Amino acid sequence: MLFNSLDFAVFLPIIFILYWFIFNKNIKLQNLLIVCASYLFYGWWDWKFLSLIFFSTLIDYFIGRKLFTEEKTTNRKILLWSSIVINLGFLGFFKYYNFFVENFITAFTFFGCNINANSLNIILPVGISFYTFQTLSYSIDVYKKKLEPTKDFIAFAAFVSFFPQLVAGPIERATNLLPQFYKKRTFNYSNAIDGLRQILWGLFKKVVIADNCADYANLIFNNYTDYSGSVLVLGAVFFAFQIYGDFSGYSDIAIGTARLFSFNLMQNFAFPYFSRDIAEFWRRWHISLSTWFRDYLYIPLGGSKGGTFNKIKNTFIIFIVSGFWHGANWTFIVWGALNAIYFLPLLLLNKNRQNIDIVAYGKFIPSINDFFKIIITFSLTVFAWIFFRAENLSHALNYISGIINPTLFTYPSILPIKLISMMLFFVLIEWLQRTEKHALCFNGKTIPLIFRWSLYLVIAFLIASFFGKANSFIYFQF
Amino acid sequence: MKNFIIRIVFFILLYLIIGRLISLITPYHWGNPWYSTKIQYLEKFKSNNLPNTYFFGSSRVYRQIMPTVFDSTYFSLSKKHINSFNLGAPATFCPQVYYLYENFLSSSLSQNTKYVFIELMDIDLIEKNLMHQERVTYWINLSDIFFGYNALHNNPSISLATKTKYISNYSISYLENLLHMGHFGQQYLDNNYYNLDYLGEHKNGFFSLERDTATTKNETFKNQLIDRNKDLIADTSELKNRAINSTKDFSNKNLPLDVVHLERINKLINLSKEKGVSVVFILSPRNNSQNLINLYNAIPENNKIQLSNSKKYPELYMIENSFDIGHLNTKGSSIYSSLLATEFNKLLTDKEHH
Repeated sequence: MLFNSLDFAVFLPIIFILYWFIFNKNIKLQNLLIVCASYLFYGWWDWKFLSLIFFSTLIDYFIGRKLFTEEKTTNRKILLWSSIVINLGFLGFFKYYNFFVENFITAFTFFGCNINANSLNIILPVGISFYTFQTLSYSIDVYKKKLEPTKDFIAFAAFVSFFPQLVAGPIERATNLLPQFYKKRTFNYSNAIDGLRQILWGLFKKVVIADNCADYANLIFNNYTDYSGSVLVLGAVFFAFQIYGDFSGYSDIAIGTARLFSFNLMQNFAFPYFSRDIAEFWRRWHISLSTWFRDYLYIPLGGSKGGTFNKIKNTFIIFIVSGFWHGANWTFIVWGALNAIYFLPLLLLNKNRQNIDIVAYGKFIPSINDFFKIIITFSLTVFAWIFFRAENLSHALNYISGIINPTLFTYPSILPIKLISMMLFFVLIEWLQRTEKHALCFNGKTIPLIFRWSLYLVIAFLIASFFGKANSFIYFQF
Repeated sequence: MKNFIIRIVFFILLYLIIGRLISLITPYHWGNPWYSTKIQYLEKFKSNNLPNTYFFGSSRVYRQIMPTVFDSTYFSLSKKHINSFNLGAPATFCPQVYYLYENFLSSSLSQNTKYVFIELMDIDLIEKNLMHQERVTYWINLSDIFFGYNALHNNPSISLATKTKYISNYSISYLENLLHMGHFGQQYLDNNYYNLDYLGEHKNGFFSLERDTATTKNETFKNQLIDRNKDLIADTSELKNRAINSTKDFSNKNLPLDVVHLERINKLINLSKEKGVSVVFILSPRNNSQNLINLYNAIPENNKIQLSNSKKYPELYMIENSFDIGHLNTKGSSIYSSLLATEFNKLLTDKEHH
């Protein structure tokens, strides 16, 4: 079920009413309702893959229980690795099987050895990368004794399948989300209202910004040979807005929806395009994944401790794995490597934490220095997005060579002024609200009611105006 | 919780009221891009020489009725001039066509209008691929939705499951219309919304499927058209079935029919009369359910033409005159338009004699 569909607009109020008016007396019943609603939400896409989520839930629940009682280190390690192998095994099979088979065939053919292996027609289960990482975090935290395993299977199943964030995150940690299923939830008016605002902004990002930018990004990327360098630059910028609007829009709707049920999910995006360097960008972009890799991969590898070689090695590993997580294609690996290259100088010069505050805090406009830093960081990001968007490496390289030629300085033949003006409106609101958790968060601010409500209505009308495409979210494929 | 619900309800009410106010103060907007383009073209470029005859309907009108052929055939038979324009649009079905026609009648364009041809169609299901698009929501008002419900209820040839699906799709579309979903957005952003290509080669609203195949820049659409043509050539059995079905009894006037639909048709005939317009319902080839034939039989003689019966019009079911299973090619369209003009001339002559 898509958040930007009428199905969800009907589903959400029904679950909300059942949750707060029918099952509100009993926390276990509320959790059971969440599990049923989540399975319905997921099954709406393809019920056959529900068995995969259920199996993953079952495995990690029992491994978690066993880890708690098992004292022997060897046995504990076996249990942990069982969880890792099973979970990553599913992910590997569904997501990476064909990639490895095809690349092995290519590699062997290159060395003059022909092998027979067939790629399979595999459907990638929606959200598998997200819930796999979520359940893995549980097993690892239990193994590290950071978390006591739950005895409550329903609560655990609700944690794994919690519908707002099941298919595209934020990837929650068991330490944050699971305990929320044990506690009695009470309806919090201001939290719920702010949740609705966040949903509204998320829908705006998706329906108005991302989907309209997608039309132009697709047109330009699919026909890049027909356009001048200046148009190709615009195409990459449109894609940058598309992916941000699409993914952060999903996260906003997910977090807002969870708040309606009195759950707090972690912030996943913190206005990343206002970053002044790549390190800051990665602290603000897809935070739940970045911190997951930091805690469960980078730090176990040694992090930035050790010599220069170790730092370089670990940085490349984390960025390349992060790229590969997005998809089984060399373009994602190059995208990850490119970000590692951007990040390394900051790390080696010990400047990766120089911009940890909010840019131009308390000011309306940034300093010239900050402004140029933002533009340079954004440009580097846009350049990397070309690899992310391209069908394959040669598509990306041809696209880039299409940019670097004299036509770069010609007037673009595609210049959708109306769309660009909406993008500027979007950037302006985000800029003004960059100190908040989301762009429509007005808690504690003295903004006249009429202004706020007018803004909500304008946004609601814009969403309604562009509603109808019901485009899927990009991150569903990851 | 009470405050929360009150606030949401208040917001929705405010949204609906403001939406209604916006609709009232902004110029009327046709949500169908083909129809919008054609109306805008007539208003802008043809206001001094408006046509006096129009064709309303789906792709069976848009792709099959050639105003140039119709006008010249009619002239050669009657020695009277006629100036026609094709207002058909793809996937524009009943009751949307009735809605368009009623709005057309109340517009200034109707002042010069003498004859209108409307394709006779069953109440159609909104296809899944069209759902949530502005073109299938903008026209659904309360009276049309009730007409749809009643007509479906009275249609003897549709199963209950299909009726449920129809009603659900129409209700969702009505809700979307009420909330202004999908309205204005594409018109605002998409520079190709008003696309003069829709008017066809002679700028008279007819656009053959062959020409569309040759000129479209949309590769997916082009491939779909090519496949539709290939499918017809590969298997002609369905076309033969349609030809056989078209010979069903046209004379039995006592078969059960959709009375609600008939009432609407009679209303349109009377409304047209008041405006000085003669309206003719066409039963077109390859679209002839029993329900439609029964309905056709009940329409007054002066307001109908049928070109559906394959015994009478075998050329309209020939493979060499076809583009795909449901549509004629350019050659077939020319024959069809000529036959339509001939039948129309007969109708007028009979009328005069009576």
